[in-house]
Amino acid sequence: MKASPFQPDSQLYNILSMLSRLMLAIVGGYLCTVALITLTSRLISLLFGIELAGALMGMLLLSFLLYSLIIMAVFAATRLGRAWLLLTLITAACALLSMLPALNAGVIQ
Amino acid sequence: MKPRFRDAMTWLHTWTGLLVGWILFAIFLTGTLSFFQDEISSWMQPELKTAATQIQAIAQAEQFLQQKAPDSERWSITLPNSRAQTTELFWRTEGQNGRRFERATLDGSGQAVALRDTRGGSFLYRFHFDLYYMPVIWARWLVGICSMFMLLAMMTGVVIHKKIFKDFFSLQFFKDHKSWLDAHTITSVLALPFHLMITYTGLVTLMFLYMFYAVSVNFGDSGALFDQVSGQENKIVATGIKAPQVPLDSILRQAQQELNGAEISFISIHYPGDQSAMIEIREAATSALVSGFRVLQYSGSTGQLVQETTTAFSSEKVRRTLINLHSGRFADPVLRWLYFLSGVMGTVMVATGLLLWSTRRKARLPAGNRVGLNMKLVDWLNAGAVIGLTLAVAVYFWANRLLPLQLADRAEWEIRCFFISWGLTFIYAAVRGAQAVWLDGFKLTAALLLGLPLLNYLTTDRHLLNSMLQSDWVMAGFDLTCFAFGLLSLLAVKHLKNRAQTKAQATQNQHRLQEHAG
Repeated sequence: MKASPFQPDSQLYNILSMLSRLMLAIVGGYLCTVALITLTSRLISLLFGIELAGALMGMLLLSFLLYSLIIMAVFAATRLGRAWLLLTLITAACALLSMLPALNAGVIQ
Repeated sequence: MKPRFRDAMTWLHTWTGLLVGWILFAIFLTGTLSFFQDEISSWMQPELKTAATQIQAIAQAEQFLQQKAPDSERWSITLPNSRAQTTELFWRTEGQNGRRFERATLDGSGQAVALRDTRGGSFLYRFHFDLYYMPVIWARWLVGICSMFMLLAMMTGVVIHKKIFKDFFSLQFFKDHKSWLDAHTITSVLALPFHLMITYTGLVTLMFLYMFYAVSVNFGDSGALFDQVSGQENKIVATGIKAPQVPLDSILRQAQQELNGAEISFISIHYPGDQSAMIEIREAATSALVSGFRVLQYSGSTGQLVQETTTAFSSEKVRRTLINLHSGRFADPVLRWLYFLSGVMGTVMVATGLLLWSTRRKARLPAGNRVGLNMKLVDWLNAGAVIGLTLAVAVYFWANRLLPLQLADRAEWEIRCFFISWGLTFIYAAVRGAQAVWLDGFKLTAALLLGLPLLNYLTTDRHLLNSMLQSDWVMAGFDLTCFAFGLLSLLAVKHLKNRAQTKAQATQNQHRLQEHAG
C-alpha cells in the first residue's frame, strides 16, 4: 500500500526531503555566504575606513569557515521548511542592505 | 548533546568522508610526498650532480630562452636553490590553439636535461591539485569540493567526539572494527591541528576560484582585486620597439643586494627584448613564515629599479602567510619532516576512515547475510584507491630507474607507468576480489620499496653505500625512507595474514560447534 508521497513515511518523501536539504545546504549556503561576506566587507570598509579590497580579502579568508557552519546548521535543523525560510531571509536581507548607496561607494563593477 | 544533533553530525561525517574519501586519499598521499618534491626530483635525476649558482643559472637561462623563445611575451624562471638542483623555465607561446606554455629544465651547465628526462617530484605536487588527464580547471574544482567535504568531515568529527578523551582511553588494538576506529581516531586526533590547517589553507590557496561569485559581485573580476591588493597597478605594455637588454645576471645581483640576501622564488620577464621589458623578481617565503613578500621590478633595457612593492593590506599578508603555511616552503629540515609525518598520519586517517565505513557496515549485517553489490563496490573502490595509488608511486620510482635513459617522451612514460599500474590494480581487484588485493598489494608494495635501494645500486652510482659515505643525505634519505615504508608494508602483510588466520579459526570452530549441536 503506497502512502501519499507527502506523508513522512513514504520513500519518495524521504528522498525529496534529502535532496531539498542538500540543495539548501550547498547552493543556498554558498549564496548566503556570499551575501554575508558582501555585506560585512562593505560595512567594515565603511565603518573602519579600510579599502574594500582589503576588507573583502579578509572576509574571503573566513568564507570557508562560514560556509561550513551554515552547512552544518542546515543539517542540524529539525524543520526543513523553517531552515529554508531563515536562510532565504538572511540572504535576501544581506543582499538588499548591500545595495544601499552608502555601502556601494567603493565598489567597482 | 541532543541525540538528534549528534545523529545529524554523525550522518554528515560518515557521508562526506566516504563520498570523496578515494580522491582525498590521492590528494593527501601525493600532497604529503610534495613536501619533499625537490628531494624526490633530485633522486630521480641522479646524473645531475652539480647545480649552477643562481648568477650562473640566470645567465644560462637567458641564453637558452634567447635561442628558443626570443619573441615570447613572457619568460618565467625558477632558479636552483638549496633544495632544487635544476633551473625550471616556462615561456608563453602563441600557437594555432591560442596561448600555451612551454617548459624546459636546465641542468648545472645550462643544457636542457637530455638524459633521464623526468617530471620528478613536481608530477606528484601538481597531481595533488591539478590531478591529471583532465582540464586543470575541472581538477581544481573537484579537489576544492573534496576539500570542502574534508573540512566538514573534520568539523563534524570534532563535534561528534566530544568524549574524545574517554574514547582515547578505551583503546583496543587489532580487534576488528573497533581497532580501525581507534586507528582512525588516533591519526585524526594526534595531528588534528595540522589536518584542519592543511585543509583550510588548501582551500584558501584557490580562494579566488572557489569564491568567484563574491569577488565578481564586489569587484568585477579577480584580476582587479588582486592588482589593487598587491599594490601593482601599473600595467606593462609592449612598445613593439626592440632594444638591447641589460644582462639578467647583473640585474639579479642588484636584486640580491636590494633584498639583503633573502631568497628569490620566481623571476618573470615581461616582453623580453622590447624597450619596455620588465623584469619582476619575487622574494621567496623560505626564510620565515611571515615574509616581506617584496616584488622588485627592473627595466630590461635600462637595468634600473623601477618599483619595489609589497602589499600594504594586512589581509593580503595573512592570505600569503596561510599559503606559505600550507606549502611549508619556510620549513627547515626538522619542521619539514614533521610536516611529512603529519601528512602521513592524515593519509592513514583517510584510508582507515574508508575501511572503517566498510567494516562497520558489514558488522551490522545479520550473520550469514551475503555482502550486497553496494558493499562490494565500496570495497573495490577502497582497495583500488588505497593500494592502487601506493603501488603506483612505487612503480613510478621503479620506472624512473628502469626506463631507457633516452626514450622519447620519457617523462610522460614514467607518468603512464604510474597510471597503468593504478589501473591494473583496479582490474585485479575486480577479478580477484578486494581481500586478495589488500594482501597481494601490500606484498608487492613491500617488495618494490624494500628493493628500491638495491635497484638504485644496480642502476646508478649514487646508491646508498656511496651516498652515505659522501654524506649525500638527500639520496641516502630517499633510499632509507622507501626502505622504512617497505618494512611497514611487510608489517601490514603480516597483520592481514594473522587476521585471515584468526577468522579462519573462528569459522572452523563455529562449524565444529554446529556439527556437535546438530
